[in-house]
Amino acid sequence: MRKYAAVAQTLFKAQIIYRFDVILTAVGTIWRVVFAWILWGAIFADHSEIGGFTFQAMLSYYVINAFLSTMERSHGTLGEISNKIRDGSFTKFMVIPSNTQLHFLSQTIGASAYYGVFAVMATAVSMLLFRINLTLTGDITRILLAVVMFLLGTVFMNSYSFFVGIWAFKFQDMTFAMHLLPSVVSFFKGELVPLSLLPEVFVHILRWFPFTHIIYTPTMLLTGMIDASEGLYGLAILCIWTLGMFLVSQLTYRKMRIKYEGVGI
Amino acid sequence: MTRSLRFIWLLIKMKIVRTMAFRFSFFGVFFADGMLFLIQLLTFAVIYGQVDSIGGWSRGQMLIFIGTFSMINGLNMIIYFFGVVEIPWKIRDGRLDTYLTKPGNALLRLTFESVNLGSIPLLFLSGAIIAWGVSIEGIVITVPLMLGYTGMVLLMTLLWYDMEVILRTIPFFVISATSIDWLEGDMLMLNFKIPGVIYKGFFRILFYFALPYGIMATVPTQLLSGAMTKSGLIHSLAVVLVFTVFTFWFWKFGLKHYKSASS
Repeated sequence: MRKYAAVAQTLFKAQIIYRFDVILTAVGTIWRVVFAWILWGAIFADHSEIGGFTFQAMLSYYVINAFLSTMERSHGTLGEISNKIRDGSFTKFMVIPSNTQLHFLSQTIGASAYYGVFAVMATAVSMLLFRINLTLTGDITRILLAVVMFLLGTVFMNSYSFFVGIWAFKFQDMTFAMHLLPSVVSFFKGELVPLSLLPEVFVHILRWFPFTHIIYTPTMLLTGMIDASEGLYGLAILCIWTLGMFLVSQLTYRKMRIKYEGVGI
Repeated sequence: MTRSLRFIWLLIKMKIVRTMAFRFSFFGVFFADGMLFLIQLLTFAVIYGQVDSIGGWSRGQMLIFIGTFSMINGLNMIIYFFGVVEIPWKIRDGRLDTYLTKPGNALLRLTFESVNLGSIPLLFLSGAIIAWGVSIEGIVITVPLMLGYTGMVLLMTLLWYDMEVILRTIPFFVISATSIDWLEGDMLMLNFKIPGVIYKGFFRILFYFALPYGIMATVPTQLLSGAMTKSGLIHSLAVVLVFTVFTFWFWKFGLKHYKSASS
């Protein structure tokens, strides 16, 4: 366990080198709020409430959603794994005495912690700039559920990225997946629009899938738009998917790793 | 002119030969960008499920807007994106030397040497989205309207090109290129999600005059749906003219500051 903590710590420190990227990501968080402020501002000019959201509640949704999305850093794992397999630098993960998937998970946690600091600052700036009165629940159960779901969601997303990334052992070029998947996943995480605005039948279907419960459900819990029982249901679904995805990616890795050609060895 | 066209045709042929070596990635851009626009359609379908109009724009106008943005983006991807996007890196590591020492216009070569024919299906997808919007709006298409719309789309494609070249000429002075891609990416994503008519105050000035991403898909949509004003048309034409003239001047000015890192 200590070695994984060391990896997370190293990645936390390594982010200091890429501080410009970190700052740009933080500014990107503010841009998401800008988008919500302009678009929903125009829509709410003619409406006082849409789908149970007031304008302030809608902005709160986007602020919290943007904050959580900035902290969730597992999307880099897919690109890193496939690039390393392609250029041969993945060799180091095959020789060091650690579980490769857990190694990448530790990296994600370390990077997320660093980005978290800037996400807090970006959120504060957004709230000040756009005079947002953040609608936050005072219910401790909902807050705890949201935190646990977000952490578990990070583990799921890391397993998912790892699973997709290791297909580079077979297909070499994963650029296609790297560009195609994020926009789809982003929608199902509720980053573009609150999923509760979808027709009810779609909301019910999406409740069975993990992506909904990584950012969207925690955001709805924190804004007090859904109750704790809905959060518990989401947590149960997420637990099953996370365990399943971890096992599937481990099995796939064992099967795929023998295809590694080790470019440059 | 004929010589330049022959040169462009030669560059396209060379690119096709190179592309055939990586057939798996041939339609990659189409699938990635196509999915992005389909998700955008889904997002606005969700919003229009709750409201009748956004900033005075109906569902049909929004479909035309998304289709037009997709069309301009498709033309950008097919013709010049993959050539222009490499400029900062070529400035940084000195590879631009090769372009400057060869006969012919360096910018012309950079613009057309990386055409991407795999993005052609994007044009069909965009056309289908626009046709869907036109049918919802009940617009009667006439030849002059079609020609006007096509002309405006091509002008906005030129404006997109201008913006790409201007941003990628900045590395002649500052070397770093990371922030250029970031800046452009964020501006495009915002303007791809928000029609220009919604902007007010500071954002209207920013996206209509300083960084005119806000007019790129908005103006052709207004033209097609009959919502275009005379002053809006004059403003758009003036913006394209000013930015095109500035682009070529700025490129030449940037070249004078090229430090040729490799030599």
